[in-house]
Amino acid sequence: MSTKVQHLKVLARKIQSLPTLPKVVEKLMTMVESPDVSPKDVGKLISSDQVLGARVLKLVNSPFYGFPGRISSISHAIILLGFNVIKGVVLSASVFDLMERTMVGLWEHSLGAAIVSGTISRTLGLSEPEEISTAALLHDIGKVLVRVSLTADYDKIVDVVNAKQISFREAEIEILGVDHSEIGQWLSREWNLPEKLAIPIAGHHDPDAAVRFKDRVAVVHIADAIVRACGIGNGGDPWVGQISHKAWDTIGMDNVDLPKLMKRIMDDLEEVEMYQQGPVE
Amino acid sequence: MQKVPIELVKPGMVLARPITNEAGMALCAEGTELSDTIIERLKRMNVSHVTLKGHPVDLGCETKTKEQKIEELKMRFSRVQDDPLMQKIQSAIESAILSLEAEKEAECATEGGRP
Repeated sequence: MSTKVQHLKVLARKIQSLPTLPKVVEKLMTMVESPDVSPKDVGKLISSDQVLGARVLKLVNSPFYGFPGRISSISHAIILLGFNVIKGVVLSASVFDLMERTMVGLWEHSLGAAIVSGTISRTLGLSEPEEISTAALLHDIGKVLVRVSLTADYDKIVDVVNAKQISFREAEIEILGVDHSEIGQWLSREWNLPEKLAIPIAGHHDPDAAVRFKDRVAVVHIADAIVRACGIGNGGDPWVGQISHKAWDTIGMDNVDLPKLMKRIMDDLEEVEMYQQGPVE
Repeated sequence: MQKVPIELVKPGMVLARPITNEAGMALCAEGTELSDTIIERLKRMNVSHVTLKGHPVDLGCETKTKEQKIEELKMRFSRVQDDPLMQKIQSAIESAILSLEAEKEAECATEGGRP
């Protein structure tokens, strides 16, 4: 057994219970696995939790899904965006609820990564850009788990980042033995996330190792670095990490007019700030 | 474009972004010229900030200069500056910052806003 697996086992025992997902979300996770579920049923279920319903609608109406301000019901959102996106959006709506107050920087980083992923995917003409955005929205979910369930370890990681001036990920490995992408992978399995979302979450720091969904892993990896590069949000430390040349080539980023893309991205990223301005606190 | 607390908004100012309710539906469209009535209504709906066209309110030294922005950009790239790909990305972002700043300056000049 590898030491990483051992480390994860120790962590899993330490995390007495996962952050409790609302009952509705648990129900939804099993419901969407069923082949004959209808958008109407799922819409009804999500809307039965009014707060969650409002958060989901706010997210799907945000500019990065391409239908800003035009989706009036959850069943409408499902028809336009598909079950995988809704599953990811519901999860982020409930998980990030935990962090909107305490981890605003990470929330902005995640929203930013979702926007950048959408812009890159559309520029390159990749299929299902909404799903790629959703994977990016969830890519740092492992950090949320550490913050919520391993609070003492989280504080130690922050201290190590400050004391040694190393990246958040290096500090995670020092304190926990694993990083947030591995914790995210474990969490994705516990929550039965679809592979299209789980694989980019697991692989966003090591895109060269991806066997499947290489394009999606590469986009999320690159978006993570670019959103940091643009100075949006807070991923735990201020530095831009090295982008994998292989991932860059995999999706053909060399054929893109980079200054033009960056300008579009910086324009789009203004939405992160704008997204926060609604009447919902 | 400028994000402004609702308390500082005056009639005649124009929205650069729509205002949305908790479900993300637009309440007030982009391009709307705000009146006393609308501003009062927005306050009652607990809207805290709005995004206005141009740069109509002087909030003091709230914006960074482009030199500051580029200095910060350099800092963020300080650990990857030997890599040619990262250099390319950094210079693309630098040119994006400069061109956005130039647009902002032009916008301020034509609308008579303060820089």
